[in-house]
Amino acid sequence: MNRVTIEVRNLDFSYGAKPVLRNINLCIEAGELFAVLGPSGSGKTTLLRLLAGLERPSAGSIRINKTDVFDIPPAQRDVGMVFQNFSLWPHMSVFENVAFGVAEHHRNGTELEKRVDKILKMLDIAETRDFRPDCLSVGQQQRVALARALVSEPRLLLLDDPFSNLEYELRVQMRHDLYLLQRKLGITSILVTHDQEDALSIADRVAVVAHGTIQQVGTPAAIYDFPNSMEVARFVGVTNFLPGNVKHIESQLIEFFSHDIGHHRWPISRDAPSEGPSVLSIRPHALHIAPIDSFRDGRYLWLEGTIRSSEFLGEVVRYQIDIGSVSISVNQAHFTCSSVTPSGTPVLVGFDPSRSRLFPVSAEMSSVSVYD
Amino acid sequence: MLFAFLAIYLLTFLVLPVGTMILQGLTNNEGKFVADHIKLLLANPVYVESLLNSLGVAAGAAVLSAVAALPIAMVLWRYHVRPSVFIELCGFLPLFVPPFVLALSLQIFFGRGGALGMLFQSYCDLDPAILGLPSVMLIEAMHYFPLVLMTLTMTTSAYNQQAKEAASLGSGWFRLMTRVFLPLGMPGLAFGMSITFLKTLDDLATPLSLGVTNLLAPQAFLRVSAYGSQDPLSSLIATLMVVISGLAWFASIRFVRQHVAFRNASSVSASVLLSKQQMIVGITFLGGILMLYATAYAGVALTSIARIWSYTLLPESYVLSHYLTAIHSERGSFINTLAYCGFAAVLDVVVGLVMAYAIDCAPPVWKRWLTWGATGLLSVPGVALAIAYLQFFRGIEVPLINQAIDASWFLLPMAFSVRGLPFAIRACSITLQGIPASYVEAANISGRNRFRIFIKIVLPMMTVGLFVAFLLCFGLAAVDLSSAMLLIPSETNAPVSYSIYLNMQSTTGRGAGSALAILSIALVTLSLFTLLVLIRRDWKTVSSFRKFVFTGS
Repeated sequence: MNRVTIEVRNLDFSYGAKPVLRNINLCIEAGELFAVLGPSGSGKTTLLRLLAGLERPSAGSIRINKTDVFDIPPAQRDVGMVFQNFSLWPHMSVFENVAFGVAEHHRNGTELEKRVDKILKMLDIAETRDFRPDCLSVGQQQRVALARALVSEPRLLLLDDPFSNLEYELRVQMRHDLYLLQRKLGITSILVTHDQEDALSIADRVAVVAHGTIQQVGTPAAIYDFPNSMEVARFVGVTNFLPGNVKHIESQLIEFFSHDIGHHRWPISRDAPSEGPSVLSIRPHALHIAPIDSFRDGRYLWLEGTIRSSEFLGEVVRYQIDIGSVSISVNQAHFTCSSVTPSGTPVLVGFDPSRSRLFPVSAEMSSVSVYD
Repeated sequence: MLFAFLAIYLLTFLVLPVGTMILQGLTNNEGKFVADHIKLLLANPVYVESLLNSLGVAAGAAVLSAVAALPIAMVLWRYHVRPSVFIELCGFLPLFVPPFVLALSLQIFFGRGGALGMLFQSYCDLDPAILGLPSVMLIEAMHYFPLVLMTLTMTTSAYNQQAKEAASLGSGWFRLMTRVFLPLGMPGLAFGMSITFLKTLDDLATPLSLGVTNLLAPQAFLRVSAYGSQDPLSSLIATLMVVISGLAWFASIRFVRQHVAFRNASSVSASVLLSKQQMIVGITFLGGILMLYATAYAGVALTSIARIWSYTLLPESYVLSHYLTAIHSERGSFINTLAYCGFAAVLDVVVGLVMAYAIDCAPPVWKRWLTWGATGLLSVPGVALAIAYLQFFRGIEVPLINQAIDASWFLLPMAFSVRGLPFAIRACSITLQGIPASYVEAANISGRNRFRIFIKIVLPMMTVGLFVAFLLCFGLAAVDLSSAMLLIPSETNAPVSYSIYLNMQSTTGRGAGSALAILSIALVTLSLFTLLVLIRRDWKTVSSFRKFVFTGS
């Protein structure tokens, strides 16, 4: 299969007067599995439809292997697409559904049959060849949709939230299978999803989309560990936000002050915000709980608080801890027979400043709540 | 090209004829607008009386049918009894059976020669003939009552069981009915009532069967019969009917929301188990209604198998020869019906599909107006359309056969198709909307051309919907006697409904006419059942009695 690069430049799209996508710029490498992650209504499916040619952009360009595809209709873009609801034609058998896409180019019946059978076998659904879609399980339907998208050996595979209709176990299985298949075929693929687990677990790179613009592009770990905005930090994973003020002390140290947690200093990082109102973001699993009278390890900054409530989530126990007037979430790993600390217990909460992030707060943002 | 065909069709068979008819009634011989005809009409007490009678009878029939349907629908709703799809479809039977059959059936018992009519005459000194207008109103109300009941049931049941149960928590019966049931049922009630109003106003055969002529439709018919199609007063009466129907329909649009018309409650929520109490309520009410109609149609049913029947409660002896006579002697009218109604229905499906597609693709602002315009076609009465055709196409010769177009059968199927068009558009819209856009997009991406996508993907998925539209239009055309009575050039060109009407007017033909009516009703019921099987696509799901009558098991 051809390995193609995708370049999207200054792409805009509006439905009437309502802007849906604004100034989208992306560069997707050949053979990459690229995920577009965003909440409902963020414009991620529209981006996929623009790539497929099902919508026409208001401005900007889309290049596949450096060729502008603006005027190329969907059928000639050589893309395969898996729709969110699979969109299998109910009046056709599995074979007919899959064969429909290739019949135009390969009129030779035997060749067509071989090709369809091969893809059905590859996706482990050969036994469903003559079944109608309504006789298949959801997982099988998804494989048929994937087979239909892949059978014409497209240059680009577009996946519109393909796991959203699946139960958790099947979802994990299908995700893994898709990853292996994509690696085997080496086809450039774009996965659109609202589920961070889907995106972070299999994608080479992820673009986070919100309010019609790309907020950040990076590897899954970079997106999770180093979100570049509160929007991304809030959407990818769970985060505590502590509002306060930042002050630079000499060139090496930064001081964060908040009425709730007091003054704290730590070494300055490259992306530290300038002085002024800021928000300290710490992931719940980056916080530790220790008894109030225990030794305070110098590697961590320690805050004093009281446990308000706890949720048992199986792998972890999530505590809500009141520190001053704010409440933060702390995840503690759970092991067999370990007990849950009761509500009302005073505790120390420690964190490594290098595992936290500081975001500047603009005047506009400071008027809205920053608590997650 | 399709849109050009659509424009030509609508201009030639609707806009121009109706426009010409309206002008005919409002202009003089020189083509100037004058009020002379209006003055003439208003000066004649017969026409004023007919206008008031028509309004009274149509409104009365709509109100009566609603008054009868409301309490039954309330009870069925309160006890969570949902009729099955088949019963719901049977509620639409009145649209496919001409009301004059019910009129003639009741006349057999209650008329002057009928057993019960004689009893009334002897003991109450009550001549059935004096019940002219009220009897028209009662018969129309009785005829359209199942339609009102079912549209009401369908709209109120189109919400899930939990929502209904949530509403009933902490609410008394009266509060539940006034605050929940009535607002929910208003669209269905308004739709059923407006259809009853329009159909009653347009009905020609029922009043004529009962000897009632002081209504607008019979007056227009009588004037055209007496003075010819160019009579300006008949145009004015027909225009008046169009205006009244239009006003009535657009007044009801506020209450009839577009999505309601053919919504099927059973498709909305999952089946539930029916308790014993629910079964009793359901069977009592639905069975009661069925018995009432079986009794009402017993007159026609018994006449169709009676050798001699006069001045007795039941026939003295029975034969099946009327059916044989009907089948043999009326073979031509069956063929005519198949040809006219089949042609009209095919045309309706094609035009309806194009119009539904145009409405679907239109910008949102236009969509609303186009939908209103399409459903507004309902307000063109059959009598008015027939008069418009007779005037507009008068003297125009068909090139190859050298025959005047108004002297041929051609205008009849065209009138049928225009009358069935709003229903076809609605059915096609529902079918089109039922195909998710992503199905077509998936095919687009696969590289096929538009035509092949339509043939291989869209059309197969629309088959059932288009067949439903075809049956609907066919059925409506088969009973449209209002246009047929004016547009049939000769008896040999008559469809079945007209033959039933003609046969029933004579004493000797009454047996064969009744047999024809029973055969027609049986065919319509069979078609509805076929529809049910097509909708469910599985015979087993309708084979149990409970599922046959109720949604749920």
